[in-house]
Amino acid sequence: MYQILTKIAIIITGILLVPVHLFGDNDGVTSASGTITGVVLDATDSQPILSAAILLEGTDRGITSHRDGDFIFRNVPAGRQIIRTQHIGYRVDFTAVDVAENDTAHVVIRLFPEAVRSRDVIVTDDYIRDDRTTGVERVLTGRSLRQQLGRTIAETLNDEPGLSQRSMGPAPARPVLRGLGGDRLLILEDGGRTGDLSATASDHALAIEPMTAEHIELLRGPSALIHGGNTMGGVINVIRGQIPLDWPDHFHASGSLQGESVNSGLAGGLRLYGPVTENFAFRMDGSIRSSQDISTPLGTLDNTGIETYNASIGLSYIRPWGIIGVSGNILDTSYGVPGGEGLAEAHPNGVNIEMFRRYTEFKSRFRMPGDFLSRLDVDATYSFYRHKEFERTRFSDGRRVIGSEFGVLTTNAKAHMHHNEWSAADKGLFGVWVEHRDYASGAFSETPATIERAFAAYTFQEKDIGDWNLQAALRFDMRQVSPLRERNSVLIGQIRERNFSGLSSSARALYYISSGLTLGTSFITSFRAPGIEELYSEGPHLANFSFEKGNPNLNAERGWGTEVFIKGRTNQFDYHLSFFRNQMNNYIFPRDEGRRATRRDDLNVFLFQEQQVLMAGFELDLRYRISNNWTLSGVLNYVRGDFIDDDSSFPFLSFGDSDVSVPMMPPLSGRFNAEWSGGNLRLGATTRFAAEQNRVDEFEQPTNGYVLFDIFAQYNIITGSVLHTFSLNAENLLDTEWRNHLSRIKEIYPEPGRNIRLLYRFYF
Amino acid sequence: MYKINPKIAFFIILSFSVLVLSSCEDNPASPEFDEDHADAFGFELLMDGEVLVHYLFREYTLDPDGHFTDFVEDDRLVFDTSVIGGNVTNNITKRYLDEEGEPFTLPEYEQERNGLFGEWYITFRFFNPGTSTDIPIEERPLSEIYDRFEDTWVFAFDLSHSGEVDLRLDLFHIDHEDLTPRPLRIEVRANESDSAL
Repeated sequence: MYQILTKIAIIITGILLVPVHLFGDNDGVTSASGTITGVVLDATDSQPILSAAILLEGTDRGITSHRDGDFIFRNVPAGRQIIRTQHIGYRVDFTAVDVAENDTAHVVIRLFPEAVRSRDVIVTDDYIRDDRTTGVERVLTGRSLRQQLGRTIAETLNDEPGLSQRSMGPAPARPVLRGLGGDRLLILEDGGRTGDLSATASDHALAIEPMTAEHIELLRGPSALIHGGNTMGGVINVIRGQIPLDWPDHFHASGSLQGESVNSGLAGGLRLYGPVTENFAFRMDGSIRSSQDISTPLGTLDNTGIETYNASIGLSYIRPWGIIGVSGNILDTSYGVPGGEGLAEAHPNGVNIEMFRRYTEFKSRFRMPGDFLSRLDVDATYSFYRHKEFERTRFSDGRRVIGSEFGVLTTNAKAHMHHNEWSAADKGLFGVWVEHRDYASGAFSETPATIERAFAAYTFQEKDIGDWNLQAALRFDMRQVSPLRERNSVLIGQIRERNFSGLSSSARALYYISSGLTLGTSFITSFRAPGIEELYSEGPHLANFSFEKGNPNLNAERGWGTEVFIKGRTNQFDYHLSFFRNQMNNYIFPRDEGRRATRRDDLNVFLFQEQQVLMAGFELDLRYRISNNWTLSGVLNYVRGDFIDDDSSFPFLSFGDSDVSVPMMPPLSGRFNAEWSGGNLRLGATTRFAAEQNRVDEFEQPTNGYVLFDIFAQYNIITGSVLHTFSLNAENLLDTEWRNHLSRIKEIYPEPGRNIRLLYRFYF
Repeated sequence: MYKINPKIAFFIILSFSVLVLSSCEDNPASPEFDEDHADAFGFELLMDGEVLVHYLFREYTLDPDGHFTDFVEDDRLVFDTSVIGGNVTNNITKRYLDEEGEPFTLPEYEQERNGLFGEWYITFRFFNPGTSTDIPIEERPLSEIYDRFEDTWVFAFDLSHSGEVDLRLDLFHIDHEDLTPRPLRIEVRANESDSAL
């Protein structure tokens, strides 16, 4: 009953936050707004461009251009707006538009082919710079997303600077940024928390199907702090667009079909988006993925198949005063985690995992009258998550041996008040967020059923001063973790309610030295309350090859990080070089104790503990245009993780003498890329590499370095009003045996061998 | 004076109602069904009322009271058919120990609760010595005689030929293991006069 009352309280809070102007006599425009119409053209021949992505910066509104290249945004707030436009084979364009009240502004956007350089495109207005206001550091979309689209979000992002993937077979993979994984790198879907358990263990898959992603954003620094106080790594926001935020004037559809050879895999998806009535818009999508066991240079990796079914539907009511929308989606997936002699004694044949998530979302955007507030966003989500792990092929009589079982019911609500110029800030927002989480585990696990309640209040502010752009964020978090039954455990101690609270903050400064050169620095202090699993785990986690022991006495994890970067752009060169240093005073992680569990002799004990750690490194991202057709690019990543003593590491990189590393640190890695483009065709070759990693934790295995060779081709063609795109990738051409250091099964199983992958997509 | 627009109010109420109704459900991994785990930290195997094997906190003690000197050799149990007097051992009874090493009783099988699994029962895993590789049934030097539905805690061994195994006696609770001990090394020695072996 208390649980239900809490949820109702959350929702009532949301209702109370609905702005008063909704309750007026009319639902007409209550603040100044206008319309933007436009056309997207090829700058070289003035031909219209179909299906260009047109985004209204600073909002989450976006549409695509029609057959004649035209588009329309209605109910756009009066004042200066920035339109971001991107399309396959063209450079991203930013165009400023002044919108007058009750008027229509018309804009012509000319996109330059990516290989053609024009300074006019780089800076068309003093206001337009690469790192403006949204705080989005990188966006993976369009051609890049299709080229990199993998079986998981982690695999899709794996080639991005600073990113690597934690894995345990092909399905359960999660991105790791600069060595920071788990919930230190928050992963969102349409800005909302996923409600899954992928942050807590290597065998838990992320409940997002990459086929559904329209684009993927990476946020860091102050803008990431809006989403969590524990985002030292950053935030990955997978934009699916389940709730339409713009009213389309006709139907749009896109479809995908992907096949790959390494696992005889096939995936397909369909997405529809269009108007229902004058004020309603809908969006729906569905996808299916099916793959068999994956091939490696050493043979087939048994029990690595994936079956996923995914569907969503969203409906929104769009008026001049704002938008209200609801959506629901389901994800039903089953996948295998391989076993093997010497690794998984408890289940030598592997583990099968069944995962189901049902997700309901409410989203609203209210335009606010007056000079101070510009917009109010009120969002709420509910997710039902179930996850079962079965030992594979144990009994012949049909009995299924369940190793672990988890259920999580999560309710979230948040409100963001965006404001215009206020005090010293040009703009910013104030926000509150609440969460109720009902966690339970079944099977042998004695991890107690637990209720988590969390609250956060935060602000983000931004200011432009001359050639400087400044951002700052401050956040206060409270979290209560309440086991339903308090008791004294023989194995882990007193299981009791814990309460955590703390401040986190971040600031970022950019200095525009010249039109193509930017110097920046950022600072973050993080606060992270330990999770239920970290506090109270007490039992076998079959698919994770572990008997997990929590520590009810853990403290909140606090850390601070700094980063200095320089990015530049000339006619031929783009470059971005970052140095970073992240220190956590009590980094919480599960550590292999190197001994068997008292009650499960077939599993090693992993004990959650806290230690002071330092992670530091750099990222280099280069692009060199040799000619209009040829481009070379490359990425280099390095991070080193050390256990350090109190106060011994300040101010910068005074590592300890120990060879023992923080576990699961990625090695030095990178890629080189050579690309030819001409017309609708693009060809390229990529070399991926990683150095050996021999700085490991006590019971962790080192891995050898590797070099892999890939080639790719992309082609797009327009027939009628339909854009067709084809992406062909041939990966690991030499069928090289290689190991991912962040794989929990690296000791006995290599990563996938040679793979041919073909993706077809259409848009209209 | 503000008045609510009925269309907007209806849509908001409908949206939140969907959230409220969908969130009023029980956790699918509710602990109610599984909260009565057996707090077993060890077990004893008794033959003829005496302790043949004592296991607690991952340590085996064989024949702690000195009643079965013929069955114990170094770190293993030895079943010699001349000692057994046939191919089938006497009945062996298993009982569980708590963290203090005190025996405690698990409830008997209740068929109405779960007909497929039973509630608590023993499973037998035969590994090649020193490995976690299962030995096929036909190659095992001994196999269990056990009916988990009739007599949950009593079993015997049927000896078929000479050889060694690592035997693991898992305690199952419905569909999962509540205690997975270290394997116990057992050697079967065939009596040459026993033609059946």
